[in-house]
Amino acid sequence: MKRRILTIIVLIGSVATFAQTTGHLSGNFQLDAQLYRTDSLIGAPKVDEKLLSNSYANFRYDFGKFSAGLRYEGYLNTLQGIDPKYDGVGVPYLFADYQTEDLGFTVGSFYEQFGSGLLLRSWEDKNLGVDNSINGVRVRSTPIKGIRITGLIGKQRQYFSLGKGLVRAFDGEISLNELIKSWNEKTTRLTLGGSFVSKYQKDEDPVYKLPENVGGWAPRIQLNRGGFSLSGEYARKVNDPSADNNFIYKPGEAMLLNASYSVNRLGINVTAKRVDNMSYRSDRAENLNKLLINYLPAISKNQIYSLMNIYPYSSQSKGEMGIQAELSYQLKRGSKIGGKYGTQVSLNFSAANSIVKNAINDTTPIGANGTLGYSSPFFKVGKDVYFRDLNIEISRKFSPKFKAILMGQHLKYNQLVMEGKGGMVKASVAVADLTWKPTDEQALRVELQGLWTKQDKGNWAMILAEYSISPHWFFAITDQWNYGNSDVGKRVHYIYGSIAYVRNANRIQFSSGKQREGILCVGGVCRNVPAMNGLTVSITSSF
Amino acid sequence: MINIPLFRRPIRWEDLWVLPYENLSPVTRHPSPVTRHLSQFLVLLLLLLTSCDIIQAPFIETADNGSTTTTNPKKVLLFDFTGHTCKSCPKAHKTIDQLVVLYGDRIVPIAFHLGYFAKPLTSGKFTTDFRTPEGTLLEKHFDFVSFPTGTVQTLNCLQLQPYASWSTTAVANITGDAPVKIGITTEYLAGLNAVRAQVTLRALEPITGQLNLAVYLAEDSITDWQKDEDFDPMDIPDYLHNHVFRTSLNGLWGQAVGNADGMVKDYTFEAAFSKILNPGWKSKNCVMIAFVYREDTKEVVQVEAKEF
Repeated sequence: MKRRILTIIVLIGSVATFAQTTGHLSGNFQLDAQLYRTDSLIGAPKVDEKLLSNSYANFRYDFGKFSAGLRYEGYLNTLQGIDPKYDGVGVPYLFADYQTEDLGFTVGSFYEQFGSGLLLRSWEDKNLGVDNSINGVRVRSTPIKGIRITGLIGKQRQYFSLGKGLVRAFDGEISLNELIKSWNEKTTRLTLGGSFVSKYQKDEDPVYKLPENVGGWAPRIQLNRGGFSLSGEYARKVNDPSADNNFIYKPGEAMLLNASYSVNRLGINVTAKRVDNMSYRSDRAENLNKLLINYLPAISKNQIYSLMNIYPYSSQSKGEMGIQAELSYQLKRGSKIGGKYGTQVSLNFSAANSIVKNAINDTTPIGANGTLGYSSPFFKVGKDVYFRDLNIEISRKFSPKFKAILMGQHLKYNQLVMEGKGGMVKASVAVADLTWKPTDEQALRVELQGLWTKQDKGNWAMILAEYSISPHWFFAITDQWNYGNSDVGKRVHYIYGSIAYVRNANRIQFSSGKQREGILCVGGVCRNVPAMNGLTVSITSSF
Repeated sequence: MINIPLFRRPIRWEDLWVLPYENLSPVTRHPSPVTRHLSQFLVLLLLLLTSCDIIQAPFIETADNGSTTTTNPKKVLLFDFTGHTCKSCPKAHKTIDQLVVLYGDRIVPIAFHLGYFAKPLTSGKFTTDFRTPEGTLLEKHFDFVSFPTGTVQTLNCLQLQPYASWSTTAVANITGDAPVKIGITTEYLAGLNAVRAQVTLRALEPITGQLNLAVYLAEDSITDWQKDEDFDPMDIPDYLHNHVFRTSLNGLWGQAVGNADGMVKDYTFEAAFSKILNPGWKSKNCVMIAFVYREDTKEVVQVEAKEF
């Protein structure tokens, strides 16, 4: 045993020495451990293990054009809210990569995105429990300056193994300004691209005649001129009956358009999206966030304040039409309304509705399994409201020591569509975020938030106080109070406190208290976070 | 050109050509870089474009009706975990219906109403409580993340499956003979509003390992509320709930049969079970279900169902 430990120490020492002289070793470590207490009042369930933990460690070695790395993951056992099928430990991410100007290749695990991801995006977010990395081979080439080609083949990660389906994909992008010499210096920049993705899964189903190879393609364009930018992508896939679409054989499609303009202190951004039957997975039987090949971004504002995130929008792969518009303006410094340090004002609006679905004939119900499902006129907006969000943000620095952010929001949230329960929730939210820095080392930040609604769990109020003494200490306490709950017994104070210590690239944080049940979303992908009462320890480190 | 010292010689672009390089004509062998890469691109694109299967109607396979030539055909036990306010759950019910059309009585479904979506509302719609103490135990046994979900031919907590893969797993488990034959005779005792079942087992071949026998009562044709996202409005007042688990007659996990080493060939077991029905249950719609499973792996060996 002693000899084995000695061997490992020598090996690590050798790698470290080697890395110092001939390459670069980097990585990070994260541990989240939670000690649970049962709390029937907030719905925090009994956890038999009492203590659960998720841990990750990434190691990456770079040496010239070569790089290699791995990620250890441990779920002992999996934290509440993350799929317990992760329970266990392993090294699910392992890769080697070699890149030259002409050609590069990756073997093992990798993440990839084509265009905006409507057809292919493999990514990970540990908070969401999403990791659909591809394990296989990827080749990248720039055969001619201005032309970039990527091809890959592999299987997607599912827990500590791989999914059933095979993913084959190809992407090409042409930057005309790089390709055509006379365009090199033009202010108009034009990039064209296109991708093709195909998945293979054996048909072993006794009920349906299933396509084993399901392909999709997506052309895209990106145009820039001065402060103006326009981008668009349209994706379409052939018949792909799956659990997501109730086994209908209608082709799927999605479109994403974005236009933005910025000049001086003004910025305008408009995004439009249409999705119709565009769930695309490497296993047609799977659900939630598992084995997704593509990514359908939510085009609502990514809110950062807690009460504004009680009702977040998540993309609807079965069908949705949405638009988002944002206008931001920087009021002039030194002006009467801009103040000495200037003021930033942002107005944002987003909306999402259903799409129109018409029956394919008089005898087949809309969306009936084992049929073509329905027809849908491309430009018609459905009558069902999924989401509305109108919000304004005013950010102003009053002095070198004091700044404030004020936000107001009004939203409509179709809870039945998003969560499968309840009805339409109409809510108004107000936030005041005040930061006072008495010295260069110390900062006190206070958030005051209120949410008012007659639906769901009623009104909420929240106060948060954060005090930081840089560079080492951080203290925070928050109280979310569901004072408007129609059930008087559930008018609970969710009090939660945290202490963190930071030194160099290491951070340790202790948190304790109650956390409400909620939905956590990142870019339109969400997971249910169960209520929790207990202690959390988080350690992060990078090198 | 890429220089990788590990290789015997530097890799040339020609090495990446998809056709045998030496067989190409001199002109093709030395195309311009643009032609060469464009050709590679087109060949790759062509390969990918052919990777699509377009299915023409009819999209559903024709019925099999479960006909078999085996003497004791394997039957498949399917646990459907569901709830009346789960808007996606009717999709799973349809999958069961389709399997029953294909395989007849060789599919034995049981629908456990449990979890968040099975909670009854206090007034108005969805007030019926389909939940059972056994369902509460199963909630502890399985870590449910989403509904609908279920298991096919197993009680193993690690083998929850999305409903869309039930058919594939069922068909993989339905071939051949089962090593245990289960017999059920049922009787309704009207005076007591009770049911009685006589269950017999016989090992048709030696089986190793501890086996358990569980006996359940389920009810079909219950008309009540159900959410169904395929309808507008979603709330269906007269939804037909089938295979609804009502109670167990010898506990959720049943009882041990045979001995710890298993069963020898022709081992037999016989037991009688009875239960007083809840006044709300209709005996004529009840089904008695008996199944044998392995204690260690929780794999179901055989299942049988008998109506009243």
